[in-house]
Parts: sequence; C-alpha cells; structure tokens
Amino acid sequence: MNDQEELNQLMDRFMNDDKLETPPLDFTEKVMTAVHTVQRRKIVYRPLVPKYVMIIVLLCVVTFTVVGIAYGDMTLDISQYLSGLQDVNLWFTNFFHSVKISNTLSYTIVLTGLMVCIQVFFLKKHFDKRFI
Amino acid sequence: MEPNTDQPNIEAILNGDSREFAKIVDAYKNLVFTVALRMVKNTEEAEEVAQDTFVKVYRSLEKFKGDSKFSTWIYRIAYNTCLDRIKKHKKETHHIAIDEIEGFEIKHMDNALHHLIDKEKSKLVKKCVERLAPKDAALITFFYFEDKNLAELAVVMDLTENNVKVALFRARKRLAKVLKEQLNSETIYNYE
Repeated sequence: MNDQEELNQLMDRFMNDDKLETPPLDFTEKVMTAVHTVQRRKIVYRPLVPKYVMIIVLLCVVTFTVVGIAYGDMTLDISQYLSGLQDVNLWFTNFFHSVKISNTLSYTIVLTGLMVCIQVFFLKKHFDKRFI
Repeated sequence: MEPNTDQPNIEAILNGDSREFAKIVDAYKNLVFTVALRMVKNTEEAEEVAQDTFVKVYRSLEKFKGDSKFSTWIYRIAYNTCLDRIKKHKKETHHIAIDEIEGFEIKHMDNALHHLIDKEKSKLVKKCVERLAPKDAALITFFYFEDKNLAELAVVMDLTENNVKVALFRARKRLAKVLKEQLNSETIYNYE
C-alpha cells in the first residue's frame, strides 16, 4: 500500500469520529416564523381587470354587434378605411425622414440590443443553476 | 446519518402546510448548520446562514424539478448561501499549503489517534476541520456525512466528478497536515 492510500485510510478512520453540530433548540421555530412572514408577503396573482368587468365588457360588445347587425347600416366604405391607413403611413414616413441617425449610433443601438439579449440568456441560466 | 426525507410532500407545502416544511427543516438542519459553521467559522453567522438557506428553500420549492435528490438541492443552496456570505463579508481565508506526508508520519499520527478516547477524537476532528479553508471544510463534511457520494458532491459544489476527486485529494492532504500540527502541539503541551 502506498503512502497516499495509507493517508486516505487514516483520514477515513479519523473522520469516522466526526459528529454533526446541532443548532439552537428554537432553530426550527425561528425558521418557521421567517417562512410564515414569506408566506404572508407572497404575491398572489390577481388579474388587472376583474372577472365581472370582463363579462360586462364582453356583453356590451356582443349587444352592440347584434344591435348593429340588426338595425344598423352595414355598408362598409373600404376606400375610406384605406385612405385613413395611408395618412398614418405618410405621417410615419415624414416623421422618420426628419430624424437623422448616424451609422455609429445605429451600430451602437444594434450591439447594445444584442448584448442585452445575450446577457439576459446567460444571467437566467446562471440564476436557474444556483437553485438547480 | 440524515433521516430519509428525500420525497417531501412539496404540493402540501405549496398549499400552505407548514408542518410538512418543519419536517424538512428538522431533517436537514444539523448538516446544513454544521457546514455553515465550518464555512463561516462563527456560530451566530452560521445560524443566520442556515436560516437563510431554509427560507430560500421554501421560496424556491416551486422551482425544484427533481433532477437531483432533494437533499442535494438543499445542500447546494446551503453551500451557495455560505459562499455568498463569505463574499459579502469579504472574509479572508488562509490557504494551507499542501505538504508531502511521509509513511512514518502517517504511522505516528495513527498511533497518536489510537491513544485518544472517542470524545477527544471528535473534539480533535472539529478543531482540525475548523482550520480548513471554507471550501475544503464543506467538501470534507459533505463527503463523510453524505455516504462519500462523489456524483452528488459534484452537483452540490458545481464541479465535475473528476474535479471533486482532485479537490478531495488536496483537502485530505491539508487535513492531514493540520492534524499533524495539532497532534504535535498537543504532545508538546502534554509534556510541558
């Protein structure tokens, strides 16, 4: 048997006498108090719009649709709708035409975006790994 | 050895059954506290770290996917919490150099240990492990209390199995060095 194996065996025999430490008697009690505080603070999911409001809105939409179909004038002027869309389009073109972005700024924006995306991925992986 | 609580009723705990969680705390508190004490080297801080560990366990119960043993998951959280605490308080850890220990020295230590009664031996183990660096102390403690399971240790310490073997080899050598020094000082003390 070489020295290393002998040393390992000695350490195994030595560590056989190791004993666990015991925390104070009220340890579990203290942990449970902390856990109850967490329980109280836990965020409960509550929808932004309550259910009854959603039902009322849905009923209104259905009622207006039904009434519209039954009594309203159902002719839809497509050309009017398209010209409206074109106006919006024109406004956007004019607005962005007046804004001048240099190449450096555009590269910076793209690279920053990329770096944020990559970091979010790695950070998520890192924190997930910490709690398995 | 730790009681078998490796299949806790997580659903019951998530539904608010705090008694189930108290069972988990009771089952793992001793090893978690022991590792914390040996890593942070202070009883009050160790108690705080052990408490933080269980609160983190409670908060993350939903995230436990069962990829590893439940005990391994708890020990990993405990180990990381200790490392965070050490980093936060910027505690200095003195590293013990690894010395070659000759065959005759091993026999000398073995003889000296034979003359100690069990109570003295466990006191000596405690003293020696306390002197190790936090990571070595955690490694040695988990290894001997968790049935020498290298695969589980690798998960706890976020290392490969081979790296755990290497780290364990070094930790044992450092422990032997500390033991040698301790035995020498105690022998000198007894002769005085």
